[in-house]
Amino acid sequence: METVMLKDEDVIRVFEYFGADPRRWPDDRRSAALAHIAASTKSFDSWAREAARLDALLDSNLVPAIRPGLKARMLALPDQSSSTPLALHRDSTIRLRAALLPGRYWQAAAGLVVAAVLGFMTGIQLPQEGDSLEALDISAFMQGVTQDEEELL
Amino acid sequence: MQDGHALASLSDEALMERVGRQDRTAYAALVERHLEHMIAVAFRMAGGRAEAEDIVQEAFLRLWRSAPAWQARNARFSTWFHRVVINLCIDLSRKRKWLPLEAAGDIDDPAPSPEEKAEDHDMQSQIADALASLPHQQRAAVTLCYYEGLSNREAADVLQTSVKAVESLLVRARRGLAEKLASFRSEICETR
Repeated sequence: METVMLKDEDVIRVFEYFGADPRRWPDDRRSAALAHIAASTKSFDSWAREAARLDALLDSNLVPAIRPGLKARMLALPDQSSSTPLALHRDSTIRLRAALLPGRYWQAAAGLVVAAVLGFMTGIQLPQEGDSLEALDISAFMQGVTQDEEELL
Repeated sequence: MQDGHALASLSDEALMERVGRQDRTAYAALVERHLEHMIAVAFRMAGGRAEAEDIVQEAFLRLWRSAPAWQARNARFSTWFHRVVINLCIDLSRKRKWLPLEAAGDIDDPAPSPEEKAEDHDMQSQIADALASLPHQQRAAVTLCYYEGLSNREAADVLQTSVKAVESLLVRARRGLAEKLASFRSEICETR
């Protein structure tokens, strides 16, 4: 590996960026930084101490042990997954959609189809031209009373 | 199908190729190899055990489902899988900001005891809070480089950025953490 010459500020940056432990320093700067610290008349103790303090705090943030049963939960995932792998399923859906309608127009088209179906369903439930007005009791309906209620009045 | 010993010697990429052919033993080998690391990544990114488990579950599900198409991609498995987990964590934390109260569901843990409440002020929870307060990318850089020991190059590949940008994220993260934890340290000093 090529030897890199570092300046004091480069070494300070190494402490600031990567902490006090040389094992965490980048490979391309570790040896050069250690050599510079050893050879320099400047003391890097305060930087090293400050970095080590933060490292100690970060190291105290422990990950809890994996719960029993978690691995089994992960191993069971293929059983819960659809038999068609997602990539294949998604690709075929996208291809189908792209073949039928370009871009995002499929959403608008789907909305139109739903509106047409709803319109048709509403249409077949409305009174037709031949329907008797008496049977529908439109006048009573308009007044908010039924025929039976009218008799009582 | 091969036994566990033979599979253990295979690379992640070779295992992934087998998973693409619906080989469950290869899938189990990948779970065995990466579960603990990915839980650690998700825990530090998401800040909670239940969230970390859900994120890693989703990541393994995606692994299984996308394995047939994965072999065509030009990326190391660990880079790709770290990216999946990190992106899921970022997505979750973005959504969490906007979730209505009802969507929060039941609380995972019972109400804390007085002792546990006192422990909330301990160093670990303060550090977790400080980490959680960092912007996503900075948190991801610290998680990958500091905790997971990825090189800056590997972290840059996961985050799809440059090495220089990763170093910049790291220094900003460490400065931010030092600042937040300095106030915590002074609080502790005042109370003692």
